[in-house]
Amino acid sequence: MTQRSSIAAPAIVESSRSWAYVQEGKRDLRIDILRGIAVIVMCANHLTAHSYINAVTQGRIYVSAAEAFVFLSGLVLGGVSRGRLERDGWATARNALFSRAWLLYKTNLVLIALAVGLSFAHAGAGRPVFDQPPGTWWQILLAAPTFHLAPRIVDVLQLYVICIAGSPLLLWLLRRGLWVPPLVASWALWVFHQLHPYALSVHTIDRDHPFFVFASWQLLYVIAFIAGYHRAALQKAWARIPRALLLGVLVPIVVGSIVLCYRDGTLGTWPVRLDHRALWRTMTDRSALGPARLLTVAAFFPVAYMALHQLFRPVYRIFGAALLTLGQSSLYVYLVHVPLVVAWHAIPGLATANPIVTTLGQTIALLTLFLCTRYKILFGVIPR
Amino acid sequence: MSSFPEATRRARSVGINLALGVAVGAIALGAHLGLTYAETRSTPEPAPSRFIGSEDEQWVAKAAWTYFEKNRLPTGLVSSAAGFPATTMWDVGSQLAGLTSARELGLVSKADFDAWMGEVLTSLQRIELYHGELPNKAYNAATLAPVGYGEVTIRRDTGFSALDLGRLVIWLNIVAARYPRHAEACKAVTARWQTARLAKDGHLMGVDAQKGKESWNQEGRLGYEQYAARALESIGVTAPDAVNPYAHSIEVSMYGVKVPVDARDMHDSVAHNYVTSEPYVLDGLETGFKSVPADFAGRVLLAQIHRTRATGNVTAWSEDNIDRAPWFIYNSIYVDGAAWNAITAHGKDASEFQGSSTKAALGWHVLFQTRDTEHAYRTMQWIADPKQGVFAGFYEKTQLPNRALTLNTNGIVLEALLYARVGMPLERWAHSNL
Repeated sequence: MTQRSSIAAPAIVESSRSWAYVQEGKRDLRIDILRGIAVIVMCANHLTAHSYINAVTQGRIYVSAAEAFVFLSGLVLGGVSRGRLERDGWATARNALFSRAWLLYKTNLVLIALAVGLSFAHAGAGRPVFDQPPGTWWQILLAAPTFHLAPRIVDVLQLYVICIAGSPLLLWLLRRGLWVPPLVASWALWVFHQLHPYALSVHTIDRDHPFFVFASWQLLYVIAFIAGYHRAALQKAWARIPRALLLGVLVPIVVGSIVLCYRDGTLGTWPVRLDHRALWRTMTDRSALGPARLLTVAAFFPVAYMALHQLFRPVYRIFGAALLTLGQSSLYVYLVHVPLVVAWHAIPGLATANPIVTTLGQTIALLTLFLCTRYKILFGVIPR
Repeated sequence: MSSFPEATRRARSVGINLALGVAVGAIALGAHLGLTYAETRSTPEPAPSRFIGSEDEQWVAKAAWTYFEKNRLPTGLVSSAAGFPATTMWDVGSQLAGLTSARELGLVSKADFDAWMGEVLTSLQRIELYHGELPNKAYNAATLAPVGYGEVTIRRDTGFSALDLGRLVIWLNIVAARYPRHAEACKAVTARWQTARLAKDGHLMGVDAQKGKESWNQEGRLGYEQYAARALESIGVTAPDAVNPYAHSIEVSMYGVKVPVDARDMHDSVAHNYVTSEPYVLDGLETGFKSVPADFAGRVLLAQIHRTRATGNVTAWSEDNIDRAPWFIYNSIYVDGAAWNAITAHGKDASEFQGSSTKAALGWHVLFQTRDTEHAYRTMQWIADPKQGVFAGFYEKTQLPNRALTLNTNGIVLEALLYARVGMPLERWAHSNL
């Protein structure tokens, strides 16, 4: 969810005979495509239903669209901030990050205000963001600006605000060649959260914990930001790793995650022993970004990136227009999808309707998002 | 090849990076050790905030409510164990708790709730009292005939239990306060009770009748005793000794925690002094620790937290049905001079079946909300079948679910979720406008 001045209209690699991606220009379209896929998965999953789309996008592996967004945002911001730092200086780079965080903070408040207003207007009207008013007016007025409200669907924005507001410090350290201390601090925070869940998070008034806990989820962002900052050097190192070795290690992890997730989700009773199951649940906990989930993320994204690299041309031909459009305006799409999700939940019986009906409904919703983005509906008002 | 100054600069940069990295890591390690020390040295205190559940809690609530729907009988009463149409007054208390919670959690419509509650209260007014005094210890929940424990076919007058009646009274009071349309019926249930034999010399008393021979004994030990005695005060039963949690309490050290224990045990009386989670959890949920001090509850919880950490076994011990003979055991944190001892009601060893209870894990968590209570609850929350109900818990030795399905477990689970929703003791909530 980084800022874009406009949707890129790439002169795609028509000259290439291979299916693989060839870089032309500064923008890495593979990242845009991946973000477009993540947007679709996120929207489909938030439109709660038993549909054929959800059957593919939900609960199939210990990774979700949120991990992709957070990681890709860090990666892009790290690279963009370095460019800005070298081109325009420290003050400009720092201010750009702060203003982005401020924009997201305000956006977060606006979304919460709308959902609260709905929940007060009519019981259940704010679903799934709020099932009921999360408190009295004065409690909400105190809680919302201080991150003591963690409403569903909207709460990820708060993670972004904190991550991006902390990015100038990260940038300042990286500028001085200090990448180990922030990396150690980030890992330490993550380990600390695994050992002391929620010890470092606020107690929100609308649920027991914020779902996207900063102490755990920041790890993805920080690693990605540092990687984005040192992207050129890392790309060189990446290119030197034999692909067979890389795939030999990563693909079994991805396949293993899919198999275990299937057993876990389908049977609901695996592992059979309670102590084993408790351990597995801890390892795969999404809110805590448990170790097994983190390992899956570490394997899945590179494999997806490599697969997309090799198959870029057909993917682009078939889905490129939609995925690039959505992926390059991911914040806009995210914001527009919130009222769509609320409207979806307001239709009685839709969430439990026939899969054909829900699939059709989700397709229409996704198409609506695409058309809104394609024709830049309210681009001047809604942040991108 | 890099020049000498550049190599020096690189080495210096690597050195600074590593030094700062080690420093940051050391600070984090110190924070971890400090927090661990603090968590295991201080007695947990009830959390002041609400615990708002996620979809997981909705799933648990629906599963628990399924038990009620599947085991409802024409009398309005619910079988105390799945498919076994018997009940006790303790279980009826849990039924009222579950019904009330289901209404407030939106699992049953107001109209259905009113009809069902009306049936229950009518049945309670119709049941034959033991010697015309008080409700019998057990009833056939389908026919309302008095029966013995564990049987439904033979009519038996087996006496009455002050502890069971205390739990029922708490919930009759909550229902009466919360729903004025049922207040008269609630009062009518207790109006015909003859309570004279529920107390003597400041103690709670119960009757045990076997083959026509009756014994009238002091009833209740620390925790259970105060929980029931305080409730029975509301219907005019005065038992000052029973109400006082310090009257017979001593402290026994377990994992360095001074756990409050009743000094009266099988060695000098006729009753076991089980220390289980149940009365503390219920007292916290319903009265906000007005019967037993929150500090007592905190120490009972802390001992279990220490055991979890020391043994790796999630520990939320309570009395519970099990899905095999001997069918009911007391997982006792302490009983009759022994720590961590599971026994049957007859005092026989049941350590083979020892394990934790889902109701205790959830109850402790909504009350105290520590990372240890969360760990215990999250570990056990899935032990349920959405088509049958929430299971009792799990066996420690095999680490397999204890698939006993009971009214008590499912009622307390719903009650705990209601407490989480309203964020205050349920007695107080019943009298509030919330």
